[in-house]
Amino acid sequence: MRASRRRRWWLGGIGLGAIALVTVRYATQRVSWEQPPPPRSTRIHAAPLCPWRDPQADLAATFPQADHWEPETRILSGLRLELARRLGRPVQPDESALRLYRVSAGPAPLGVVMIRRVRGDYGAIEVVVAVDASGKVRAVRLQRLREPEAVMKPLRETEWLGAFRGKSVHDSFHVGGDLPAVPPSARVTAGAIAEGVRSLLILLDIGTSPRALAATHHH
Amino acid sequence: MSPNPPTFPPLVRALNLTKHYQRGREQVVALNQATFEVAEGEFVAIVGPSGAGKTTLLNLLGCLDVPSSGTLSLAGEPVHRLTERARTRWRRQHLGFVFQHFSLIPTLTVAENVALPAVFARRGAAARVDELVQRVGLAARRDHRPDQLSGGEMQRTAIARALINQPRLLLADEPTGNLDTATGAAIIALFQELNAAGLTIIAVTHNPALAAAATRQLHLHDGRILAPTAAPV
Amino acid sequence: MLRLALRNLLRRPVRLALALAGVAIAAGTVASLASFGAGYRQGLATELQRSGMQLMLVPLGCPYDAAARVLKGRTLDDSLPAAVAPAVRADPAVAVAAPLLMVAVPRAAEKRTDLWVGLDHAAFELKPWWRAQAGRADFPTADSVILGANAAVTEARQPGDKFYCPEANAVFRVAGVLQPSGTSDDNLFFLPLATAQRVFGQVGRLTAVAVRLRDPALLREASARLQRIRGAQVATMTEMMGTFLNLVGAVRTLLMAIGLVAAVASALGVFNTLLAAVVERADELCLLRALGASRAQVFGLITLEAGALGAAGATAGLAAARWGGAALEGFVKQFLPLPPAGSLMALRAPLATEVLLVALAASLLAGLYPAWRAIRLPPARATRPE
Repeated sequence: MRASRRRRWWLGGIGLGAIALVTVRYATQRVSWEQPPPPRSTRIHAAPLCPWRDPQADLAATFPQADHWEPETRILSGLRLELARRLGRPVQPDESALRLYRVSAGPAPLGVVMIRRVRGDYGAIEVVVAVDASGKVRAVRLQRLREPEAVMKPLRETEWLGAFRGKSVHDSFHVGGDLPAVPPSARVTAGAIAEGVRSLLILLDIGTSPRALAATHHH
Repeated sequence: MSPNPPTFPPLVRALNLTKHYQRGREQVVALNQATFEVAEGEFVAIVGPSGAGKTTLLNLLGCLDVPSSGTLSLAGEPVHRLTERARTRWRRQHLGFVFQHFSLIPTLTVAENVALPAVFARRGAAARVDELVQRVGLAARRDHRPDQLSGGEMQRTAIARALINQPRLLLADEPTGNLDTATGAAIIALFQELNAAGLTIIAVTHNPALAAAATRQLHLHDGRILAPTAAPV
Repeated sequence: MLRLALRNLLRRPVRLALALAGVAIAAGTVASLASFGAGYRQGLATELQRSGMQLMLVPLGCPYDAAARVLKGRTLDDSLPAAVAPAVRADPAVAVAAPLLMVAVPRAAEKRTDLWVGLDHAAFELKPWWRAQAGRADFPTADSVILGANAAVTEARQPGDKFYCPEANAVFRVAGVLQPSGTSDDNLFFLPLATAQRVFGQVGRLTAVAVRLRDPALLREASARLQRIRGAQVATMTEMMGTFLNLVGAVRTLLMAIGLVAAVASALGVFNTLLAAVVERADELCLLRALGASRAQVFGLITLEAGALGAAGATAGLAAARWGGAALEGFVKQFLPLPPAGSLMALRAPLATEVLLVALAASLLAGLYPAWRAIRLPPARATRPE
């Protein structure tokens, strides 16, 4: 009788301990969702993949009906020759893989979103390209840039980014020809964005071909 | 003193063996001035009604307990004077036990149960285990657990276990008490066979068949040994 | 004997599992906490040593909070007058006094904060290991900027590129990109001090003055003198480390107390498991005695069970600590002042062995009374089980 009572006490203690452990683990997870850890220093010299900084805002503007997106990585390192041929220039280190985000509404695929960091005139420009299911550009947005106002103003005033809408990988992206001309001060910036969009479309075209190696990463 | 001197040198010699317990305020005399001898090679049945002191006597003979007064010699050794440690050693070396409830370790197999006393005695026993398991007819059940055995098989396992350290005296406490008649008869036959091979056996029993199979009966009543009934040796 | 002990334990799987879990939790907790402490101390020492200074002059207020902010490349709410720098340099014990201006520019729309640091040539003396992986590690012109290794990647800049700061409306020219250092330097933009003061409207103000002494032994007297400079206070790195360690130590003591409670609870668990097993198996233990087991052997059997329980539980706990350590680390790091960039956990073999031995010893200790109870059982009970 005494032994069984003691056992009950002891069981209670272990139970409390287990609850505490679960709570701590849960709390740990909660916290890590809310506050991503500060960036760690890494010794990777190749440019890391550019993150998608504001999926909600970008999706609201490009695929408002979207309710789901999923990242996917395509390894392109085996296709360098074809890449170089299609790009018409040497392949850059960050082009050996393509990170894309498949956007869908329920079971229906809407398209993909891709992010690319390009060298602007005054700093990095992070280009967000939304492509619909038929491979046509739906919108081009800039999630981060540090170009001066003097550069950005003409681009904004001519709705320059809007000119990308409807273009596909088969189109040309020549600034001043297929895309509206810009003043000399904005030429470098506009060229960098145009080249970023063009290269992403080529990467997507090659990357979603059956020969590309899929390494899907779930979020 | 026994009026009927045994023909063998006595293995057990009890003189005025007495054991009393305190039960509450009352002092219970479980065994009162018991005096008897058992010769080497005898098969003795201790009989008597419940509460007569049979188990007390068996505990004393088995060195599981010490007498309140009187002396007990086993093979000339005055075991009533032995220390706890020496009694353990004595049990281990010279005594084998068979119990009413078989008392097998449920987590061990037949072979492991049989080997257990040898493990305590730090003896290698693999060959002897095989031999004994064979002898009690459990070769096919060697690696079974007790819960997979019948009552008779369990008791035969217990007998094999009692024999592992080659005891001089086998003590049995109601060995057929939990068995049906047919199974009990087989156990009695096994006892007779062992006795015929020279093993001294003392069995506490209520079973007339077992008592009849013994070479001699000791009657206990209220802790006293009644006039001995001689049996032809 | 061992087989008998193990089978006895396995007889009650639920009870065994609970007792094991108790031991495992205790061992895991204690191991994580102890390894955490060791790792933190190590990480902190590395971080402070890489900062290349022995003390820092910071604005009045909590000096350690200020120093921690400066070390992590965050700005202070208050600032120092620029006159502090020459006053510090005038001190005979000071080898290098590097005035710093830190400006954090939050850019909410882009979800980032730019961290600009103004330096003068003294800072390069303070960090002689600074090397450029591209370009140069100094400022050839007033509009030069040096980028940390990570910063250069995220800004896609190379030496010679333009680099624009919208908030200050200033265009800089990238002079060099630093090699990765594993510290907060990797994410910073470095400007000449005067330029930083001018473009961010902080002319004549400093965030801190970092000081290296001619001889670390002069720390005490130098900090006493520097303490008299008006408008500033001294935070020494050793004090700072001490303060952090004290703070962490207090938390650790608290956690250790929890660990201790867990350990005691688990020892009680082992105790209870074995005691219950002894009470429950009393008849069987008496039988073993009747069959010739000595008291020592019965004692050994129970002790063996205790030891097996402790060893298995502790092993499981250590495994869990290794596996769950990272999660715990992420959790704890958020409450730490100056969390080091490296790993905090340092579960090394000697510590693991120690925990294992302590768990084993505690289990054996907990097994003593049940074992003692077991050997007191009368062997005569074997003939008439209760």
